[in-house]
Amino acid sequence: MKQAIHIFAKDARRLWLEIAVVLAVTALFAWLYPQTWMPTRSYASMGMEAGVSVRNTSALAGLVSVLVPVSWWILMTRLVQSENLVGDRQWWATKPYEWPQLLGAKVLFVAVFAGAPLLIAQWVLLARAGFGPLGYLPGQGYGLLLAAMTMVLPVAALAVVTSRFGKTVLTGFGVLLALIAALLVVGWRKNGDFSVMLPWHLADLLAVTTAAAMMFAYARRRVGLTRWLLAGIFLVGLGMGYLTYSTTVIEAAYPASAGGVSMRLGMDGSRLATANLAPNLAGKKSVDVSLPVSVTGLGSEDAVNLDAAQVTVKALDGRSWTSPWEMENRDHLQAGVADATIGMVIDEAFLEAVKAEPVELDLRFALTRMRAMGTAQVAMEGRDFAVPEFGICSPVPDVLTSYPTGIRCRAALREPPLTFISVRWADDGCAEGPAALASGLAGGGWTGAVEQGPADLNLAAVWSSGLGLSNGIDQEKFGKRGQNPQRYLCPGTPMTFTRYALLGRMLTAMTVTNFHVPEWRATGAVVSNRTVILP
Amino acid sequence: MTITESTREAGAKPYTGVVGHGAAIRTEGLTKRFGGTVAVDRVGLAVPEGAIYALVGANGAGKTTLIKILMNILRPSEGRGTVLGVESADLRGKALRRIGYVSENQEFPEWMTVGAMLAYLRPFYPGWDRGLEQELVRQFDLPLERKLKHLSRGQRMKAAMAGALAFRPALLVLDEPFGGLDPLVRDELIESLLDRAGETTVFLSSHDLAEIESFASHVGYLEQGRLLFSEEIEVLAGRFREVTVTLDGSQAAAAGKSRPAAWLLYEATDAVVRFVHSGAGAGTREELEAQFPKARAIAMEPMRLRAIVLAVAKSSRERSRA
Repeated sequence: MKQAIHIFAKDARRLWLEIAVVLAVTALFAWLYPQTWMPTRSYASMGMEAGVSVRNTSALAGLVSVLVPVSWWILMTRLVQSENLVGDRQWWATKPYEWPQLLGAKVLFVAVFAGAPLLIAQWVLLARAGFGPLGYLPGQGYGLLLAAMTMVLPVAALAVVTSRFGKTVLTGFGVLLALIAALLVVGWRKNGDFSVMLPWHLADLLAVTTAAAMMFAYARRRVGLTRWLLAGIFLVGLGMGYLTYSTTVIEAAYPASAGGVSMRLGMDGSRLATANLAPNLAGKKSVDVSLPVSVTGLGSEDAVNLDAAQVTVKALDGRSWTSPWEMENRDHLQAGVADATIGMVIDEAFLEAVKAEPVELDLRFALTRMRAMGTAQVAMEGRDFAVPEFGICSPVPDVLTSYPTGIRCRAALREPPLTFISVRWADDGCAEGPAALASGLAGGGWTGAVEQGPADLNLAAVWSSGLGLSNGIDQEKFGKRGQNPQRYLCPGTPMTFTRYALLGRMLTAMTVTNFHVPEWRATGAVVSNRTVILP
Repeated sequence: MTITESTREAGAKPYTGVVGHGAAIRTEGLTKRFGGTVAVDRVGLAVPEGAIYALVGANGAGKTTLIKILMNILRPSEGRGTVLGVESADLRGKALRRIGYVSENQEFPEWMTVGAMLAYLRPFYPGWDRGLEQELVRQFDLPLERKLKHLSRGQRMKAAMAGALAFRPALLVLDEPFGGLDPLVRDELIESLLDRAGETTVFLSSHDLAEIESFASHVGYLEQGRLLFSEEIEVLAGRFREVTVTLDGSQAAAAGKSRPAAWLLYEATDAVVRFVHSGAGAGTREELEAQFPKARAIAMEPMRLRAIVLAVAKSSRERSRA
């Protein structure tokens, strides 16, 4: 330990400028970041899109939150390369450094000059967000561990196997380019979430292997094998991304038979299917077909999320085309929801060849099932108000009338549990008092995460988001001169926060016969004029 | 027949081996290849404890590579080496507490002052001698407040030497320590080495033969990665003689046709035969009389280290060409 402290002190003396930059950026982050959760004024009453920021500091806060890890990377690269493992001319390599002490000195340095300042910044941010900072220490520790695994470890590993700062940066860009190239090769996918698909935490294993490869480099004072190991880890990571959507992984994560589930998905014949041309990054042309669906048999306390879908299109002449599993990322479905749609990405060339005749669609869905576990009733306030087991919310004022047009909420360490928020809108402002509330239109929206760890990967340790509530704008009035389309959430409005918990995951299927493929266009949300003929 | 044999004062420091009887450094079949190039070729050497061993050879002969393998900076392709009884491939951490290493090619912590560098090194070595450190600083006239990057080449080598000597190492490894230094600095460094002779085994590489002859006790000659000889300088000087044989008339061409392998660089003109005898000893006089029975005169001259090395090198090249 004595040697580790000695090396630590030497590094602190040498890297004072880099340390000063990290501290300055972190302090700026703690100062500016609360701007990102301050409610911005709504412009909808002026006929403009809601949520336009009037604060430049909010953009600056976003920039500073990027600069925090960048300042770490610079500090870490310089730190690691103070005792470079690459090359044959290092002064330190012929001195009696003990590798556990050397590695310990580096870890201690990162903890003291990157981890501790961030921890303090998080306390400041939690306090400014209205949360008692000292009550979240274990979660903060977990969050810092996540940050270390995802932001610190990969860059530290690159610094270990490269000899100079410039080479580290170039190699980093090289890795990034390789990643982009790999994504182009395997095809651009929709949003993915490894944690859902890979319950065995392969990502954790990769992080541990990376750390082990670095330790090996320090122990042997050689980087050859470590370079190969890191290249292997990178390839496994790419493979993971590819396998996330493989049938095998999906079927492992979503069992086909889930007992006691009576829910069924069917085509909604009252609405039209739509189609748009969607060239992907690889230049391959696909058609994004949106299919209206209805959900039946779902309990009033239950909800489902369409996580991923796969479609097989069968033509009358026997030709068929099967899509890979695609992430759906659609809103959650509840009983009685009238506007659910499913997106399918289908090869344009195939669709062009078969579109003249009706086709059959065989759809498979990967679903997450959830059940309501508790409800919190609160009344809307004109200032910050707490929602039990959720967080703290603030009204978003209208730029003209200052009446609340929505809410923005924040929570400590992580997204709140998956929650459905239901509200009642007032059409004509809040001057009438509680009488305005009784006849208002209902609105609602989902927020939060169905699965939670002790903390999210979030440098600020404060989650914040504006809540998208349906029916906030009167579409009939929108854009019409002299008419205010904005609906309001007046103080005193009752709001219901219903928490949902994970029930399980399942695969289900649906077949649509005699489906006429809609016309598609290259750009814009153009809808087909053709009628969808239902079975 | 007149046989004359000259002697000269040996420049080399006699080896007494005061520290112990083992080898501070030993290698067996040590080989290093970089792709298709063999930088070190099956080198086997032993550096006795207490010796001042000079590894000589032209630039690119493989001296630095050999030293880097011994210091575990490079890995051997084949063979093995031990340094103070430790496998060179395991030489790290505590095992380096008894070894000082100075190289002209090292990347020093240039941002440190001389004083900060010495202070930084101090805790790494349990045997660090503050008194010796101060003595070395005085002896080398080191500017403690100046950063290493602002030092001249000579000052930098002296600072490195101070850092390598202050903990009284059992072994001091120096890679081209005198290259490009002015004579005064060179003498200061050599003096500092001689001051520690006996308590420290010194293993150094150099291509300046005249210089090392003045203080080294042992010498090894490396050419194109191969170690052509490795022995005590006194012994080496004792077995190499420059022989000139004067014959009657044109007998020279016919003389010595079945010459021994120990005769190097054999040249014969009408009446004179010249060669280097690499195995001279007590029976050399009789051997030469037998080989040249009609010689008018035979002269045997002792050789300087530089001449010995040149003879061995030329002879080796001749053999390679043949």
